[in-house]
Order: sequence, then C-alpha cells, then structure tokens
Amino acid sequence: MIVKFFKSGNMSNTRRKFFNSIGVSALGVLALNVLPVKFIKNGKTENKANPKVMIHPLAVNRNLKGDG
Amino acid sequence: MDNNATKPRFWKSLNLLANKPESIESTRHEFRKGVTDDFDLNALPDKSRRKFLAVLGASAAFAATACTDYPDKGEIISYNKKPSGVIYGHANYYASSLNSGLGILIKTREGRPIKVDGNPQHPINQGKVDAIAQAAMLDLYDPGRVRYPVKKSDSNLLLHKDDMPKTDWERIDKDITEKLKAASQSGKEIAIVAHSVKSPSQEKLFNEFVLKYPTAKFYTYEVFGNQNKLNAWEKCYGNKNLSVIAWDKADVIIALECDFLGTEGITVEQIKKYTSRRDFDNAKSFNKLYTVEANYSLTGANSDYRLKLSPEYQYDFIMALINEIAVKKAQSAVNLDDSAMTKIRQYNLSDFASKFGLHADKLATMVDDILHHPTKTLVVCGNSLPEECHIAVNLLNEVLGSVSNVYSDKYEVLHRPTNTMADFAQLSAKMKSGNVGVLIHFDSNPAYHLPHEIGYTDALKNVETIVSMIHIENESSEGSHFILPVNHEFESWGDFMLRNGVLSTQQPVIAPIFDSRQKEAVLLNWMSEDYTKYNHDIYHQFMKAHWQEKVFPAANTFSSFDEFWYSCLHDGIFTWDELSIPRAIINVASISLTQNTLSKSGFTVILTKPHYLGDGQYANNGWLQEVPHPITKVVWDNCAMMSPATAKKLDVAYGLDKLDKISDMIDLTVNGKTLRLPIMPQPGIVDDVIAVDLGYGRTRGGEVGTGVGFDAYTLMNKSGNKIYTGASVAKAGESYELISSQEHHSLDEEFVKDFHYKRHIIQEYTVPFYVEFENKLEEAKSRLKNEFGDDREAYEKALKTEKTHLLGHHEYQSHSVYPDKEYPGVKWAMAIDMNKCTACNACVTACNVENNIPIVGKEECGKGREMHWMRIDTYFSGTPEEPITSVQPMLCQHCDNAPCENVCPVVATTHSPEGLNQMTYNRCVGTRYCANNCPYKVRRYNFFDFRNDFKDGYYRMDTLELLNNPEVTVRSRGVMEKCTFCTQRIEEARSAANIKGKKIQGSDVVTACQEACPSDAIMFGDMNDPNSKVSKLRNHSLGYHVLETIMVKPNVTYISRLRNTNMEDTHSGH
Amino acid sequence: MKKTVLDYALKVKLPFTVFIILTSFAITYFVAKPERDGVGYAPEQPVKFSHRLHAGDMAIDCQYCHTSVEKSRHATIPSADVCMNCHAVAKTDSPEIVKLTQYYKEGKPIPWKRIHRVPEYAYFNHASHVVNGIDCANCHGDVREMDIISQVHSFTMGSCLDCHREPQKRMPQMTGKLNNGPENCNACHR
Repeated sequence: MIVKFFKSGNMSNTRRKFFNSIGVSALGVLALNVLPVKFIKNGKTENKANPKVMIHPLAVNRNLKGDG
Repeated sequence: MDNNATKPRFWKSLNLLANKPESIESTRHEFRKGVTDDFDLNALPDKSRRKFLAVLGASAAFAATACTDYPDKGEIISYNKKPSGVIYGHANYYASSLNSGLGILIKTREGRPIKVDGNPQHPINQGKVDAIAQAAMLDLYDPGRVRYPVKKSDSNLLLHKDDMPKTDWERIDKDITEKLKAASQSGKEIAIVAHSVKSPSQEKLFNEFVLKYPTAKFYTYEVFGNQNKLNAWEKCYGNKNLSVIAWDKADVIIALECDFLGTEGITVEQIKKYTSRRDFDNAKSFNKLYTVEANYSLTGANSDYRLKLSPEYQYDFIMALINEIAVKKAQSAVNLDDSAMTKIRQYNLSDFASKFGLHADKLATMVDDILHHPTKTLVVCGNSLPEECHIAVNLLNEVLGSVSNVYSDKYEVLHRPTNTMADFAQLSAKMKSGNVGVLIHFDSNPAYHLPHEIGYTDALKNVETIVSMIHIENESSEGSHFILPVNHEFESWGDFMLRNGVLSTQQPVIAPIFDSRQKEAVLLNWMSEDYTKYNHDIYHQFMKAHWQEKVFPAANTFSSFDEFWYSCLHDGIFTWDELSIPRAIINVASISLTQNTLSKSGFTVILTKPHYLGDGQYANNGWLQEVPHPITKVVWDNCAMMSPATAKKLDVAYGLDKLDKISDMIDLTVNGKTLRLPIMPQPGIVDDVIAVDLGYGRTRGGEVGTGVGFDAYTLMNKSGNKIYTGASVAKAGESYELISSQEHHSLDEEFVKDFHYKRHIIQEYTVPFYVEFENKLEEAKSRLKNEFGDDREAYEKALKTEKTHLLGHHEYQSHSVYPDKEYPGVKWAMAIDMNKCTACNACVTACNVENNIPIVGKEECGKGREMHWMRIDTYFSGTPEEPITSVQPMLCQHCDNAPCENVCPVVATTHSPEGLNQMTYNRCVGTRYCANNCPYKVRRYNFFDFRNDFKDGYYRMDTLELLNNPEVTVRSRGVMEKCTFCTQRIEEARSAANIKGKKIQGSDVVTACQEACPSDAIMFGDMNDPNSKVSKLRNHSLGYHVLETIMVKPNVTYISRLRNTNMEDTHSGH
Repeated sequence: MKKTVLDYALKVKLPFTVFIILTSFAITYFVAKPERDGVGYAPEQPVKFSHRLHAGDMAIDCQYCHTSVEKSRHATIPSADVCMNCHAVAKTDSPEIVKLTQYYKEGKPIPWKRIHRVPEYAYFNHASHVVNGIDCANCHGDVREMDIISQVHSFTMGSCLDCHREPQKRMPQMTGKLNNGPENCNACHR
C-alpha cells in the first residue's frame, strides 16, 4: 500500500519534478534554519560607508550653562 | 448679512471656470489620466504560466536560503570618546546665522544638524525663517558638493569635476600664492567676484587683502539687490542709510509692484509685522493693503484691493497721486518748491485713471483712505521699478508726513556698495584684453547671473588663472583652473550686521564633512607669510580679534572678552544701543523729478525672483523645486505667466484640450535675444505683460538642478534691469509638459456647482461686517441673558443660534451614526487663522524636513503623487481679469469619525485616546482604501520607494541619509502616510513631562508647521483645556470646519478671513 | 470488501498528509521560536565583558554605564572612555583589557553585538519606564548573573502589551504604584 502511495501513476514527469523541487527546497530551508550555515554578510559597520560627522569642537551649545 | 447679495462663485482653475467638459470630467477621477489604464495583454512578454510558477517557486526557495542567521540583531556602535553635552536621543541646539544674516537655531542630533528654525532672540526675524532656509538643510548634505580641491590643466578645463584627480590644499595654496604674487608684481589685476558683503569681519578681511595685494579689486553683486532704491535714497536724503520700514505701524500700505510678502526683502519680518495688524480680535485696527502691480504676486493675492497697472505707468501714477494730495487737497507735510510744484501739476489722477482703465471705485477708496490716515500711510516701491519711481515714492511719503511713523530708527548698514553693471562691463573688458592675472569666484556664479551682453563668459577664456571657491559646481566653475570646495554656512564662522545695533554670530556646528575650507580662511592663508602654516582656526581668530577691538568696547556688562564671546555665541546675537542718527530732511530742491525712463511698446517683460530658488543657487535642492509656486502652483519649472486674454490673442493655451498638462510654447524676444518657454495663463496679470521667473535653466546646477526650467537671465541686457518693454512674442508651435499641482486634489463637483461656497470650504467676511456683527452680538448677549437668566444651557444654545443667524448661515441638523466618544485628558486640535496665512509655504517645507518627506520628481508630480503631507490649496473667485485669491492650508484633519479608519482591512490606521488619527506603517499593506475615503484627500501613498527611484538612488547616497530625522520612520514602498500632528514631538513632550513627574499639557507641544509659520497663523494644543488658545478659537464665531456637514468631525478649525473692504463691494463668500 | 479509492484516500493519504502538516508546523514553530521572540540569543562579543563580574560581584549600578536610560529614549552601550575610567589602571595586562585599550587608543568604536532589539518602526522609550520605577531586570532579566549577556524575555509586541495591560502580573511588587501602560498605536509606532 505504501508503494502504491508513492506510485501515483497519473502525474506527468515534469509536474512531479516541479513539486518535488519545491518540497526539497522547503526541506533545505528548514535544515538551514537549524544548521549554522551562513551565506550573506549582514549590515556590519565595515560594510557601510561612513561620512565623517564630528561636532565642531568650538561650537557653543545653547543648552549648556556657563562656558561651553 | 443680506442673503440676497450676490454670492461669489469659487473656482480653482481657469478651465473649471470656463466649464470645460474635459476639466469637469477630470475632477470626477481621483487619478490623473493614464495612471489607471488597463494592461495591454498583447504587449506582455511571452512566458507560459507554468514557467512563471516554476520560476516563482524556485526563486522563493533561493531567497529563503538567504534568511540565515536571523537571530543576528546587528551591532550597536557607541562612541569611542563621547563628546560632553551629548545625550543619546536628545537634540542639541546651536545659535548661528545664515549667510543672509538671519539668526537661526540649528537642531542637531548626535552631532548631525537636522533642522533649522529661527532664533527667537534675533530682533529681525524673531524666531522664524522662510521656506528656503527650512529646506537649505539639504544643501549641507548635498551629494553634489565638491568634496576635495581640484586642479585642472589647460587641456582638460571643461571636464566634469568627478573626472579630476584629487589635489591637496598645500599644493593649491602654493600655486595660487605664486600666481597672486606674480600678478601683483606685473601690475595685472587680481579680480575677486563675490556677493554683497554683510559681514564686518569679511569687509575687514577684504580691505586687508587689498593692502597685501595692491592690484586686487573686489567686485560684489547681488542679483535681487535694492540698487535703485539705494540710489534714489541717496539722491533724496544725501546719505546711504536706508531706513528700515516699520510695517506694523502703517494703517494703509500701498505696494507698487512690491512683493514684500513673497519675494522682496526679508519676508519673514515683513510677514510677521504685516499680519500683526490683522488680528480678528482687534478688528478695528486692521491695516489695509492696496497693491498696484502688473504681475499677480503673492502680495497682490493677499491684498484687500488690487489695481492693475503696467510698470511703465507706475511713475506717472505716483506723480498723479502726489498731485491729488499736494495740489488738489493742498495737504503736504513737506515744503514743495516751485519747480517741483510745476512738475507735479502736469499730472492728474482722474485723467490717469480713465486713460489706463483703473477701477474708479477702488481708486477713490484708496485716495479716501490715504486722506484719512495720511501720517500712517506707507507707500512702498518694488526693487525692480526704475530709480525715478523710488524718488517719487520717497517724495510721496514725505508729502503724506508718514515718515516719522512708518520708518523706524534702524537703518540698513551698507558695508560695501555693490558694483554696478558698468563696473562689471569694465571688468569684462579688462579680462578680455588679458589684463586680469587672477580671477577668483568667491562663492559666486557670475557666468550665470550677469547679463550675457557683458560678455563675461567669453572673457573668461582670456584670463590666466581662474579660481572658483564654491560649494557645488556651477556655470562659472566650468572653465576654472582651480575648484576649491568651501564650507557650508553650518560649517563656517561669521558675523553679520544687517542693521545698526544688531550683530549676529555664525558658528560651525559640525566639522567640515568633506575636505573643504572656510572661504575667508583661504584668503587669509594666501595673505600670510607662510601658507603652509594653515590651520582651521585662523578666520575664527581673525574674527575674535576684530570683535575684541571693535565690538567688545560697546558691551558694558562683561568682565572678560572670552566671557563676552561665549555669551554672544550662545545667544547668536549681540545688540547694543547706538546713538540714533536723525533722519535727514528730504532735499526737495535737489531731486529732479525726471521723466519716465520706461515707455510702453509691444509686450512688457518682468523678470521676477523665484519664490524658492533664490537667484538660482538652490536649483539643486529637490525640496525647493517641488514646493509649488504659490500662485500658479507650477513645480519643477518656470514659465511665461500671462493673462488669459493675452494667451487667447497669441493663440496659445495650457492644458485646455489635452488633460496631460501640455502647454504651448512661445518665443519671447526682448533686447534682441529670444527664449523659448512654455506659457501659463494667470488670472490677474495685466494684458500684454509677461512675467518670467529667473533662476532656472541652469546648465551646471548639480544633478537635480541641471536642465530644470528655462534660463531667463539670457533675456537681460547689460543694464541688469528686471523690467523691459518692447518685447515681441510669437507662438512657437511646440509644446511642453508643464506640471501644475492646482488641479490636483480637486474635490468632486459632480453634483454640486459652486461647491466651494455651498460646502463652506472657504468662509470669508469683511472687516466692517465683522465689526457690526460683534456689536449686534453684544446686544444679543444682553438680550438673551435677560430672557434666559440662570439657565446656562439654554442661554448657550440660543446664543449659538443667534450667532449662526447673524453670520448668515443656516443651522443644519446632522447626526452621526457613531456614538459620541469621550476624550478625558488631552485632546489635540489645531486652529489656523486665515487672516494671518499668506501662503508663504514655510509650513509645507518645515513639515517636509521634519518628517523625512521624499522628493518625487517632475514626472511623478505630474501624476499627482507629490508627497507633501501639508499643502496650500488656492481657490479663486471673481473674474479671470480681477481674481480674488483665497488660500487654505490643508492637512490631515484628524477627524473624530475618521472615514479612513473604518475601511482599513488590516487596522493600520486607528484613533488614539488623545484624538489623533494614528498611522502604523508596518501594518499597512497598501490597499489605498483609506485615501479613497478621505474627503480632504490628504493621504499620500508611496507608489515607489522614492529614495531609490529618483535619479539613480540619489537618496541612498552616503550623506543624504544623515539628513533624516531619527524620530520619524523612513517609509518605504507601498505604505500610506499622512500628517501625524507631529506625534514624535508629542511623545517627546510626554516623555519630558513624565521624567519631571507631570502630565503632558497642550502648551508643551509645538508642531513643525506651527514653529515655522512666520505670522503664527497655526495654533496647536489641547482643546479640552478651556484656557488654551486652541479651544478659544475652536468656539469662536469666526471658526469653522471644512466640510462640516459630512459629520466626520474634523479637529482643525479655520478662522474665517476678514477682508478689509467695504461691505458694498464685498467679495466675501458665505 | 472491495478496496475503493475513497477508502484508500481516507485511510492512508489523509492521515499521512495531516501528519506531515502537523509535524512541519510543530517543527517550524519551535525551531523558529527564537527568531520570533529572541529569547536565548547570546552571541560572542568583541570584548568579553562579564556583567556578572561588574554588575554582580562589584555591584556597579546599571546606570553608571548606561547613563542616558533615565533621560532619553535610548539606554545605550557606554562609550569606550567610560570603560577606561577604571581600566586605564585596573587589570591592564588582562588580554581583554588589552583589546579594549587598543580600540580606545585607535579611536575605533567597539562593535558590540546587539542583543535586545525592538524593530525600527517601534520607538521604545526607556526613560518613561525607568522613571516610573520599573527595574531593569523586569525586561532584561537578572543581568547580574550573566557572564555572557543574553536575552531572557520575549520582546514581541504581544509580551509588551501583556505587561501594559496587566502590570501587576509581571511586577507584583509595583501594585498600586503603576498605571496601565498605553495601548494605542502611537505610543510606540510613529
């Protein structure tokens, strides 16, 4: 009976291949979520451009009392 | 109010007024033509469904594999050494100045400037800045800025700066110092072209530079300066101390071709002072504004009475007025000698009026008003009018005797008179003959600004060394040998003295982002003995030395100079009492009342100052390009504005038969030069007058600004004047897509004609009517009190009915299907006073900066997709020849029964317990049903990720990301957004109150638009607090809601506008 | 009895499919749980800072380092100069301190791995919570016992709202002193 289940004879070859490919990739995704395999670098600081932003050292802040 | 009086018909555009079926058809559709077209199935690519699904599945699987390391939450980077005074999440404010001299407060977050607002302590602009200053924040982070110094060799002079190799400053300094010395020794001129000098320290620097290099000569210019006014003043009063006008002291203002509310002078101050006399609380002391002009300016749109007069006849008109006052009515506060009287007698007002078709009634009213308030009448002359008009106006003001009232005791300080066009012609000749050794463009763009007739651009080829010290590449730097980046005004030191007794400071709030230097410091370095000893502080030290010597002695309260200096930097301003120079007596004998220099022939061309581009310097600022022209509502372009009758005569039209906003183009020929540009028929312009904005058509204006609009500078002749006669116009036969946002967001008028009136969108009255109304109301109050005695509720109800009846409205009974909701605690509401709103668009721009509103570009604007959360709608009434403009700022009304909240399928928009309509961007899936339902059409949809799709990802460049306000979400594709009543500011105030242990109060919160409005027309606060201004305005008899009858219960109250016209010629709409 | 197709479908195919669906759902639910609420995430940090040592054994107050938590929205990680307040002289030869000092001297910011993160579109406000007496440990767990800092409470919107709606349940010691937190969208989402 189990054999018969897997031998569903009416489906065409391409359709079967198509569904199988989806199933395999889904299983693959599931596996990748468990196994620690990394593909892409996330937004690390080294990867981003950093234009220089620096408060001017002589600027006098309005919020501070006394000499800045 | 007599209900049978003719009620005006409101119209939004000429096409709707003419009932063109296509235009009416277009108002039925929410979207512009072509936007909702069906797909053409046959045009789609040929892929089978099966293949598509397969690719879909496979790509989804592949994409899913990229979702690894999902727990990674990124990094958290804090400072290495935290600067003192920085608290993460708190903004720091620095007082500084703009290069125009106005005082500002720069709001910075973690060192990044993100917003500019006015400095409340500055006596000139008093805490407000205009739309240009609000949006100028973009210029600091402009990706088009020159980032490093560039030296071009002769063979590659015209290559773009990005193709140039970097040079370093030391080599540049060495080269240029050598060239300066060489030029000085060989006797060749060193010419430095700059904008007008407003800074005493800069003036000192210029003088010292000339001492060091004796052949150096400074040429300063200002495209929209007041040269004519100043010359006239000198002729009349013998000095150059142009008195500052006290706009709030005048009862009657007559503006002759003077757009003081829109483009001329320091508009923020003028708007503030002018509207301070238009308090509806104080209706009896309303001022009255008459405009006599050819172009339909913003001041004309705001005026009580407007007379149309071509600029050639202005001089005759002023003289005729003087005749009317001094001769006919024999009232003159100043002694007129015989020769003057003879000249004046040649003019006659009534003849003049009938000859030029001036409205007799309006003119009579004007003369009447003048004679009733002679000492409080102010006549102002526009800067573009010729000198003789200014002289005549000075005389008129003296004749009226108003100068002691309407001129304040402050005067404009002239550090260095600007050079005339004749001087520049001389310079050009010298350049051509090779007598100029070094030419320095000191943050200026003369190749674009100067009249082409002077031949400056050609003469550039003959100059040995051209140095351009600029911010962003421009037309003058195109052929330069050296391009040196200069600091933006937020990175610079400076001081500005616009008026006597007022000195404002400019300090850098951010260290230079790129490898630029302060332009004054560069000059200083070239003057020093050893140019390698440059450090960033030299101009700062120079300024301090100047202050210690000249300014500190006037300050009495500080013990040390350093204390004084820090205090000035902290405040941003230093004021001192100067002995006021008494105003000179006008020397009537010396002024020669000459003949008119303009004479009418053919068409008249007026070259106007654009509202938001300065002299063209802000062309690369997308925010400013996208703010619509307040009258024509054109975006991203300039055009030839002409009257509908003229357009008809020339057989040109705009969008009449073709709804896609196609405009016919004309060939405008004046001074022997021709410019082809599109037209825009504008109601209210004098026939045969064409007004064109300058500042467009740049060929090197940065990535955004290049190629936008048409260059009207080409039409100027070598006088540099802005008004020309004798022009000819011919239909060009070409067409052009000109985008105007006027017919956007039109409310559907399918079943209701004159819906603007019937639906009470605009409500206006006249001042006399309102004064009478108040009297009658007092009577009614006492009568009803007697009737109802102690029964408060019945009294209130009856009073309300009485008010409605007196105002001429009908009471309507409308019931909501929703139960009333209770709002204990704070309930936010806004009130906008239409008496004060002049449609300057400062609120729109401030909202854009505060809320990270994207720029969408011309094409998307054409589809009605501009992203402004707040907009100013214009409605016209009257006729196309004599239109009356009513403006209305429209923003999300935060309705209690919001129709947008019911229909969101994912509950992305909800109502807060404080009355705000909330928008949750992450839930929004982009159904757009809410925008469909909004009766005010204030919801904006992100059709694209505008930060990526505009000119090659302009927004995602490294510097522009620094501009974003970190408290406001940056929205992506597919999300609906709208005005949030600055909820980030509300939450900030709530948090601040919480920390202090208090509850939030309505007065703690100031929205961005409220903060920016120069006339304080916008009020925001808690309507549950009976003492707040908002709740008082909400219950005021003049307050109304837009589209009240559909029972959405909006929370924005508009205070009806009172026009200071007589009740008989009322154009009030109710 | 003759075996019909329906019989076959009901007896074999249906339970088998249901079983597959249920197991895959269960597996995904549990495997992806840390992604949903973030609990248990304890990555390696560039400098091995131990909260157990500093906040626990040496009893340094949370707010000595995380200074702006009472004044602004953000709690923030202290800048390197706060560490150098002590570590300019304390334990300067320990390899981690050497690393720290090198970062400080080079002027490079230390790239700490972020543990507690609320999505960008939610604007959490630390000051409102801390000023009202809510202890750090209520959301961040007993940090004083952690050698390597990890997340112990769920940071989903649901758990935030649970506390907002019934603060007494999460913090019984605060009964009577705390009102319910705001439930409206704008309190966090702008």
